[in-house]
Parts: sequence; C-alpha cells; structure tokens
Amino acid sequence: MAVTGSIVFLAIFVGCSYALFADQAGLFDWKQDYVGKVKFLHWEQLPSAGKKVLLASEKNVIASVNAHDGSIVWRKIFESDRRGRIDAFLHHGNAVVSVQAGGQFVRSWHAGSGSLNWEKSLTTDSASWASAFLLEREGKRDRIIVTTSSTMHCLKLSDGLEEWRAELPNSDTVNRWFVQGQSDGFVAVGVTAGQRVTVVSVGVEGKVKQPKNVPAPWIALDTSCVIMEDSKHFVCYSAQTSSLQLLSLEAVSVFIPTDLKELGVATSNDSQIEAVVPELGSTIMFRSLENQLVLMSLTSQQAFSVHKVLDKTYTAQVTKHAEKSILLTLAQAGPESLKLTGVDFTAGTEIEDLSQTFPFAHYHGHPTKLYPFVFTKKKDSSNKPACKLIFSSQDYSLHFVQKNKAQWRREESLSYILTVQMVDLPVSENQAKFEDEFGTKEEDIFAMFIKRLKAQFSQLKVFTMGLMDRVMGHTHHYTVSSDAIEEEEPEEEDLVRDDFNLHKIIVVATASGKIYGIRSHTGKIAWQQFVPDLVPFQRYGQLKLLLLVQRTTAHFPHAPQCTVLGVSKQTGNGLLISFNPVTGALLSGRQGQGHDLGFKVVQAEMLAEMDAEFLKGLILIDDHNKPHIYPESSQSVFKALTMQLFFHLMNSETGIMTGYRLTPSASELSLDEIWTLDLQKSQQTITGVYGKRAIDLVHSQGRVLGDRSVLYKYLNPNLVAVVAEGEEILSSSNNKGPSAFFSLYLIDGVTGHIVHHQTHKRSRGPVKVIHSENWVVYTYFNEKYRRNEVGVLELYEGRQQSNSTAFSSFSPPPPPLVMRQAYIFPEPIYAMASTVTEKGITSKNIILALKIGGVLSLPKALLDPRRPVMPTQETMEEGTIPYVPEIPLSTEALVNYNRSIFNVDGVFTSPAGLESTSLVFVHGIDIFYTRVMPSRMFDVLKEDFDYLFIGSVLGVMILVSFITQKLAARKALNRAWK
Amino acid sequence: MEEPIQFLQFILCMFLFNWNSFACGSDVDDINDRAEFKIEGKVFVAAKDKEWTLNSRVLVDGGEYLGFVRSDGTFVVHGVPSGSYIVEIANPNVLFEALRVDITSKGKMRARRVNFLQPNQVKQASYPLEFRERGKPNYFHKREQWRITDFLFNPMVLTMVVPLLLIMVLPKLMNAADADTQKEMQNQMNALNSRPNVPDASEILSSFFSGGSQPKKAVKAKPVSASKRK
Repeated sequence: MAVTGSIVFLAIFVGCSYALFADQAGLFDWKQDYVGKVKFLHWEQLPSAGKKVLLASEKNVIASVNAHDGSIVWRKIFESDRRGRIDAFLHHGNAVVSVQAGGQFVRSWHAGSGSLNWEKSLTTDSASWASAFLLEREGKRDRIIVTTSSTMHCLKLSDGLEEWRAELPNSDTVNRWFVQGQSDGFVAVGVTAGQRVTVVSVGVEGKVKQPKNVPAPWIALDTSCVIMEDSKHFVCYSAQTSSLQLLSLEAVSVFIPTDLKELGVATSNDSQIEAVVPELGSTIMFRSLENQLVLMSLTSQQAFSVHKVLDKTYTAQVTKHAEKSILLTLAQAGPESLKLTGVDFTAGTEIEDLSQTFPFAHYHGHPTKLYPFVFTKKKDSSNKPACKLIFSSQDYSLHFVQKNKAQWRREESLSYILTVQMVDLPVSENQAKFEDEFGTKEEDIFAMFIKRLKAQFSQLKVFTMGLMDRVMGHTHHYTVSSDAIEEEEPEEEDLVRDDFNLHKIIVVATASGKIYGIRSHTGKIAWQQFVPDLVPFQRYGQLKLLLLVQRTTAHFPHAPQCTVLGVSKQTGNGLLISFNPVTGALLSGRQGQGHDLGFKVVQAEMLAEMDAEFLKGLILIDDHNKPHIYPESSQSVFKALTMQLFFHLMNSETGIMTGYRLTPSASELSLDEIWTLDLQKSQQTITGVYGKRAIDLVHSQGRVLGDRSVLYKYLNPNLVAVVAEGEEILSSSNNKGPSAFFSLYLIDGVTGHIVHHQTHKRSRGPVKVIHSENWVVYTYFNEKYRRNEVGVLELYEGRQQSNSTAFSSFSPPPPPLVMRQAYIFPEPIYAMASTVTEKGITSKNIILALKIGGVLSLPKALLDPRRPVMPTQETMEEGTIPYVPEIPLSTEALVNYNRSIFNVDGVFTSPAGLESTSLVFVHGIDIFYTRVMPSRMFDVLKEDFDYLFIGSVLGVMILVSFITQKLAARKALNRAWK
Repeated sequence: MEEPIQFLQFILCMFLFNWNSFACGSDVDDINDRAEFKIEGKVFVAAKDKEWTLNSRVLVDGGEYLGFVRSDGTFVVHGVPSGSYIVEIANPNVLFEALRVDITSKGKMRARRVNFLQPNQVKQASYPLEFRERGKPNYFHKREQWRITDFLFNPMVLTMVVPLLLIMVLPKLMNAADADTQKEMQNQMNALNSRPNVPDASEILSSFFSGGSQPKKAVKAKPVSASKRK
C-alpha cells in the first residue's frame, strides 16, 4: 500500500507496533481479488483471440481475466458511488473503452496491460445514462459514438480526439439515449422517464434534424428497449401491461402495443428484451421466464408473431462464425448438469461439434447470461468449430467451460459480503471421546476406566497411523490427487480444530443470497449454499443481514448451528435459514429455501439462555411490536426466565428512541413501553447505534495510576453509543453556508438515561464508531481545519468502585468521569474495528482500513485520553505516552503490506484459542484475512525459534562437561604419581 | 441494588439507521452552478519500467474523486467542484508526499504542502502538481541473522575470552622462563586443588542416600580422598 508524506516514522512507536518478517508474507494471511457481478464481457481480440476476457462489473470495476485459469491480469477500481458507474464498455483491437457516469468520464485502456491511453470528460451530468458504440465506416472501426444526456460525440479510438459533436434536443429532461448508426447518419431515441420518447435523426457529420416527441407515460429509465436492425422501428417491453410497445421511426406517431398474453407468451418479473437478432430479419429475442426465451418477428402489419419458443433454455446467444450464424443455447441437461447446443440458423441444423454437457452444481442457481467464443480448431484440418464458454449465473458467479469440463469459476458474490462470523472447528474424534468421558456422571468407576482405556487406545492408533503416513511419504496423496481432478474441490485435511484453535470457518452471508463457509487457514471455500429468495433488509438505504451463532461447537455431540435472518423476496416477510456452519448442511426447509416467518421483522436478538439442547433461541419483534420466540423449543426456557428483558427501538424517521420491557413470565408475550427519548429529528438524523460486542471480555476492572491508586472503569454492559448528524444554519453575518455537526450520546439502554452527551461543531461524518470496554473511539472530518480526526472517550467510576460484583442500571454508580481527547488522523478511513481476544488480557489494537489501501493495526495506547501534554514523573510511572496531536502512522504497522485493498465495506475481528492472537477479516471488493498480535507473541515460541541450534548447543555442552571431567581426573591422577 | 428486577444481562439492539452519504459535492454544485474543474499533475518515479504507473491511483480526498496515471506519469482528475482537497498517490511500492489543492469558485487553482497541525500556514507548491518519489515503504522487520562476527564482538564473549586467554597463555610463558617459578606455581596449583572441589555427582548421590544423619561425615571424607590422590 502506499503511504504519503503525512506518515511520520517515530522510533518510539516501533516498539509498540507489530510487523511481519519479510519471509512471513502470505504465511498467515491471504487476499482474494474479485470484480463483482459482471455487467459487460468481451473476449480479447489481440494479440491472440480468446486468451483473455475483458469485463466490467456492477461494483464499478473493469478487469482483464485470464481465460486459462480465471486469474485477474489487471484490474481498475473506480469510485463506488455514481461517478464510477460503468454505462458502456467497448473493446476493439487492443483498446478498451469505458464510458462512466453518464459520459462524465470516457477512458480508453490498453487491453493487454491496463494502462490508460486517454481520458475525456464530456459532461457534468452523471445522473443520466450514457450509451456508446463502435462506428463502422468503410470497413474500419476507428471511431466511437458516445451519447450523453445532451450531446452526441464522435471520438477517435486511437487518441480520443473529438471529430464532431451534436447538441441533442430536450437535453434537460432526457435520461438516456438509444442510438443506432445507419448508412446516412444516426437515429437516436431519447427516453424521458414517465413522460415521452424523443426521436431525432443525426447526419453523418453531426447535423441534427427536427426532433419529434411521442408520449410514453409507461417508460422508465431501466425499461428494456431496442432499435431494430433496419433502424425503422423502436421496441420496448412494458412490464405494467405485459406488452411490447412498437414505434415506427419513419412515421412517428404513437406506440402500438402487442399484448403478449394474446400471443401465448408468458411473462414474469424476469421478462425483458434480450437482444435483436438481425440474422432472422426483424426479430427480437425476448425472455419470458427465467428458463424460457422466445424469438419474435415483426410482421408487416406492425405487430409481432412468435417465431420460435426456446423452452427450458436459460440463456441464448447468436454468434457469427465462418459465414454462419449460430444460435447457442444453454439448457438444463440433468439435475446437476447443463447442455450447450449450437444450431446453424440458416440451415436449421444442429452443429454436433459445439454441443457440450458439463456439470453445474445446484448452489449456483441458474445461468443468466452466455458469453461464447467460437473458433476453428487449428490442429486438425477439418476446420471443425469449437467453443469456449463463459456464463454468469444467478448467484453472480462466473463459469468457464471448455471441452465438456467446467475449468474454473469465480465466486463474485464474495464481493457483496454483508455479515461475517467466525466459528470454531469441532474437536477431533479423539478429543470428543475425552469430552464424552467427563460428560456423563451416572456411570461407575469401572465403566469409566474402560472408557479411558478405549480412548487412549484410539489415540495411540491415530498417532501410529499418523506416524505411518509420515514414514510412507506422500505416496498416498498422489493417488488421491489423481482421482480428485474430476471433483469440485480436491479433498483437503479434515475440518478439525488445531492445537491453538487458530483455524476457523468464516461464515459469510452475501447480498446475492449466497452463504459461504470459508476455511480461515487457506481461504478456500469449504461449503456454499444458495437461497435465491433471500434478500437483505433495506433500511434507510443500507443493506443488512443478520448472522447469529445459535449453538457453538462446544456442545458435542450436538452439531453447531447458525442462522441467517433476511427478507423473503417473494413475500417481504422475515426469512430464516438455519445451517450447520462447519458442514454447511441446511437444517430448516428444503434445499435452497428458508423458513418464511410469516411476519415482517423489525428487530431480532438472541437469548442468552440455552435450552436443553444448548440452543440459544431468537426473539423476533414484528412490525406490530409483537415479540416472537424462535424456535418453539426455546419458548419454555424463555418462560422460565426470572428477569425481564429490555429492548430499545430506534425510529430514525421520527428521531425517537423507545425502550421496551418484556416480562417472560407473563401469560401473553407483549412489549411494555417504559421510556422514550426524543433526539431532535428537526436538527439531526440518527446515523448509528453502537452497543458492545457480547464476546468482548474485560480482564481488568481498573487502571493503576502512577501513585499506586486504582482508577476504576465504568463498565456498563447496557451502554449504547448513538450518533446523530445534522446541519445548523448559521446567522446571516457568516455567509459560509450551513455548517455540519454531529452529536454523540451514551445512553443506558435499560433506563434510557443519558450518561454522556457531546456535540462536535463544524465537523461532519461519516462517523465511524468503536464501542468497547469503557471506551468509545470515533472518527470524523473536521471542517474547520479540513482534516480527519479521531476522538476517544473513556469512562471511569473513580477511585472507588460502587459494586464490584455486578452492574445494575437501576442503581447506577454516580455519573462517570469522562476523559476525552482528539487526535489528528492523517488518512481517511473506510472502516474500523477493535481486536478481540479470548480472555481480554492482551492489550487492544484498532484495525483501520485506510482509503489509501492499507489495513493499519494501531495500538489503543496511542488513543488514550490520559496521554499527558506535560509528562511528569507520575505519568511516566503509569506508562502513558506524551500527547502528540497527530497520530503517527508507520508502514510497518500495515498488516497487509503491499497488498492494497480498496472499497472496504467492513472489518471483522474474532478471538483465537491463543490469548495473544486476534483474527482479522476485511471485506469489500476483495477479501483479506490475517492474524494480529497486539501485545506480540507472548504465549508461544516464535515460529522461527531454532530448536536445532539450541538443542545442539545443549548437547555439546553436556558432552564437553563429561570429557573435561574425565580429562581433569586423569590429569590429577598423573600429577599424583609424580 | 435491591430491586426485584435484578441485573440485566443484555440489551438488544439493532441498527435501523442509515449512513447518510454526506452530500458535500451536491451542495457545492448548488452554490456554484455546477461548475466543475480538473486537477492536473505529474508523478515522477526514477524506475525505468512503467510497471508503477499501472498500480498507481490518484486519490482526491481519499478516493472521492479518482484519477489514473498515464504511462508518461501525468494524470488528470476531471469533474472536481471548487473546494479544498488533499491529493495523494496510492502506490504499494513507492511513497509520495500528499499535496493540498484549493480550487476557488472561479476555477483558480493553488497547490500547497499539507500541514494538518497549522492548516492556515501556506507553503506554496507548484501547479500542475508534481509528486516526487520519497522512498520505498518498509513493511517488514528485518530478521536477525546469526553471524560469527556478531558473536565474537559481543562484549559478554569478549569478557570471557580475554581472561581465558590470560589463564591459558601466561603460565606457558612463565614456564619457559624459570624452573623455580614453575615449582612455585605447581605448589600454588596444588593448594588450589586441595580445596574442596565441586562435589562429584556420585558423591552427592551417595551422601543423599546415606541419610540425613551423616552429612558431616561426607564432607569430612572429601578432603581426605582429595589428599590421597595427590
């Protein structure tokens, strides 16, 4: 990653920072690069066609992917907002052109290396969609036509020079233009969403002729439309009326609808016009269902007729090869296989050489788009055609098929991760037996003794087997690997916990409805499940899925259980998917389906109490504020609870936070409102509520000061941090416009009592918050000084602790001492999290994903509000670092060294079995995993510990002492004889 | 503390809130009638091959506006409204200093050094921007290597080796000099050796097994056996 001049190297902090050795790079960490859901794909034409593919994605990424193994050759990541949106993606020769943000950026790239050839900005309006195509004149394709909302440009492909431009009419209302070239100019159809279309013809040199308007109130920005090959007709599919709307461009008057029901063509949510098929005359390919395509021809009566129905076909594509037009279709062949068929259009015969049948796992959904590459086999002289095939599927994955084999695939939904959990692997069979031994109490001594003998015998057996394997070498492995080529994933080591519990299963749920289990050690996918119905919660523009670990791996023989809570695409109700996080086996519902709850979920949380089978239940609150318990078996456990549960709901539309009480022993479950808190919606909007993590343990109750007294921490488990951002209108004397501010509240979630409140003036978000132990760390942008800052609050009870055994919100200690400080943070950040360890003894680090590409591990000691401005004897005794306004960043503290990671969505940390170690998972477009040791490795020997050297030195010492003893004895004897 | 409702173990919360994507750009758009400008500059790296241009990104305000470096090192960031921005070059293998660019509402550009501590202090830099290589980042600790010279020049080793040499070499020199002194030395050595030496392992064991009543005997026995040997 790159570091700017603002990064200061201070020798004092090198001691605090943890860094890798150069040979450890890639040993504990891995990074996987993705591009996102593919939007455009071209096969590379030069230097040798079909070796690479060029693609552009919904995540605003363009990339070149090697067709041989699916690896990324080069990749360019653009802004994640609308400035980076890719509207058109063209490829010719060795140039790739990306048209972005409605024509605000037109960039040409070298297809082989990915270097920028030229760049142009055609407009400032990035809201509308641009269109672009390659212009073919006299057999040469060296011009591109780009249309923005207001203008049409003709650019030279080689250097981007503008040949001519044309001002298009109705530019203030048109959202996008459909353009087609014809012999004597261009025809352009502009779409104004919800109102009309504008038809205009443009001459060869950019002369605009009189525009004509046709009303079309049904049209939307994303309505699928095409201009027919003859440039005389414009066809759209109107989803509301399930009809095709035809407009004759010569006699512009009105759209003529063709009702698809009358033609016997079914329609669904997937319906759209896929493409024009010029090989068949005026014909379009229309998708009616997810597995049905219809070819429809335009009749002379300005209506459509069904030409051919491609039943049970997921996707089809027409390509030209050797003067023949070939229709390639992809259809289901068996339960887990697909079949590609090639049909010669003109002759109407099937081409046997193109047919392929290949396996396709059910957890990819169904194919959605086909990108074939047909070529002639060079080896034999028969000139037989062959086909390389790339297709995308419903779960965003990209598959490559050649010679009846699925050669590689890219799991692109891993760049849409919404929620992460790390789950322990189960203990090995032997250790499970030991657990079993102590698990039951009823047995007598003799039976237990037998059990112990059995367990130890099996342990011995496993040990000898392991030893045998090692002695025999890797012969065993060779036989396996030769068989495993056919398999999806070659057999790996068993999913068994390692000595220090460092290897885990990373369970992730993605926005595409796919759930993965990833081995943390290797980054390989252990299992995957696809639930097409699962969509994330969409609250105020943010996507969310919940992933809860209902039963951990600790309760052998009960299998662990995780649950994903999302929304059902069909009904909008809550959808639960329960599964075993280690094997990936679904526990509820049928394959690929979840459990529809039958109500909309507003809030959900896990109970702390386990039922008889060690399963933690879920409390779900529906949109009528009625609580539900899931599963049913937890109901009795819940009823038996003596204490009350407290909830709070935040309504960010009204800015009111409400606290509720739930009494489990009551006959009917209902929520009682106990407090409300108005957070002044008129001035500010709530942007986040941050509680503490349940697994976050506090080892030390206080801090020892320089004078040997103890400052006790304020450890309220019910404390939540609430951030609200707003803008205040300044008085007219200060004409600088509105100035942003944000407020931070620390609220007791049980009583609604505001423990602390502060406002930062002339500062704006996005405010990122970490809330842990007795401190809150938050980052924001200071508008006054135009710099990023990080603030820290620490709460202390004082020199006396009011109650050392348990904290009660109803008898709270006196208001805590709030210590605060702010520091300049030189780099903007994407996301941050604090490390968590098993027992909380290790000091904490803060993991920050910097926008410059690094993942920084920053000791919390640097963000300490007790850092003194003037260091004294006492503060030196305490060990606080003297105050420096700027947080120094060192490149050695970047845990991802030169593996830059951009557009990060989140950072997740998890404890490992070793107290010193915390596991870090960073996700965004890429995924990155590593482990950090905030207090260095204090509990294990370093892995570079030289056993051989130490052992040999020890051996030599013993030997020398024996020899010298002997020699000394002999010498003494000799001397005595003298 | 004596409430019938005892202590509360958990608080249930959920994030129902959005991150308002802060609309800085659009605000400025409204004020300045959508005037947008471009930031230009050049990156200078000593390396001969152009590999570095491929993985360099120009980040304006941490990537809110992006630019890409051409093979000759120049870059342009289009579509930037007026304001004050920090421009930095993200490259994993080369370090650069960030620069601050101020764009007035009329499109006048000014570049200056970044100073977070005193933002009002102006230290002009040239525009179009010039980014020069400031060295290579160091991501790794150097692993300690075992070298014989390190071992020999270690002060601990030196303090041990020098007296050892003195003990071994000096008597030899004196021996050659005089027979009388040699005899004297011999006597001295005898006197040294006659002292109770470090007990032998077998002696410790025997004294241990012979019980606690006879430790004195064992101690007494030692000088006897030592003198016998002489």
